[in-house]
Amino acid sequence: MPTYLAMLAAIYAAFLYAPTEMVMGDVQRIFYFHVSAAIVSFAVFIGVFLGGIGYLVTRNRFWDSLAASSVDVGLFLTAIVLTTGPIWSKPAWNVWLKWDDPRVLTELILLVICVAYVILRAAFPEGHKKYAVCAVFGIIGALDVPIIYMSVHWWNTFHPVVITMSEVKLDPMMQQAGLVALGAFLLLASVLLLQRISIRMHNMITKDLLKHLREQE
Amino acid sequence: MGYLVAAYTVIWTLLFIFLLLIQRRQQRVQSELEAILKKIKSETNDPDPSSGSSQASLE
Repeated sequence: MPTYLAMLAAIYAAFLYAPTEMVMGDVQRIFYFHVSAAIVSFAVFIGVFLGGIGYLVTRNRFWDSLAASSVDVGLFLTAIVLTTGPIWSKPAWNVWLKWDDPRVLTELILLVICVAYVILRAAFPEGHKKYAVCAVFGIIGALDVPIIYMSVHWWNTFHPVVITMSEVKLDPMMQQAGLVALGAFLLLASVLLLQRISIRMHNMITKDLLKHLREQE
Repeated sequence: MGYLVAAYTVIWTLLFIFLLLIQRRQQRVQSELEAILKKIKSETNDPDPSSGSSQASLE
């Protein structure tokens, strides 16, 4: 319920509370969900990194579930970023996608890493080897996140830099709307992540039970 | 305005697909659990597998 309310608040903030941007007009309102999804996806990939390290150190399946579930949620958020980006880019800069833009390219690499992780997970039979390979792959994949963040500082980019660690170049009302959307996305991602972890853990227990029952026969 | 609508339609569609996938996985786990309960039931001839006797046989 709090997630529904938060998402409703985010819609209100993005569409009604935030003022219309003078140059781009209403299409700028894509910003609130696009940027929130991007920031939260970065946070989610910390889960992939920690889950991978945690599994390799402890061999506890919880950490594997955390990493795999984080990839699922991260894939969903990255898909939002990469679809809303071009839809915003076309009316604002008259181009769908600039493939040579470092921010777009590194974000696209993250999406490919997520898809590769899911395929890799499906290809291996259950067991330590699968979890260990996925943990290593996830750790390497998560290293793309700081590269995405720094890409606009390291290379020449077409992508606008509105938010940095030190400043936010936005109207105060737009900042507030952005914060509401960010909070809503954080809540949504947390709920989805907890749900995925819970299903994975239950799935693991039922599989172990079934195996145990078959062995008894 | 069309682009704005398109962007938010994509966001809600992706969220709907993600929730649908979660629901399908949850159903799969549920059906596996039901299969386990059925198996325990048939092995113990216990009408209520969650009662003490079937739990004891599992142990």
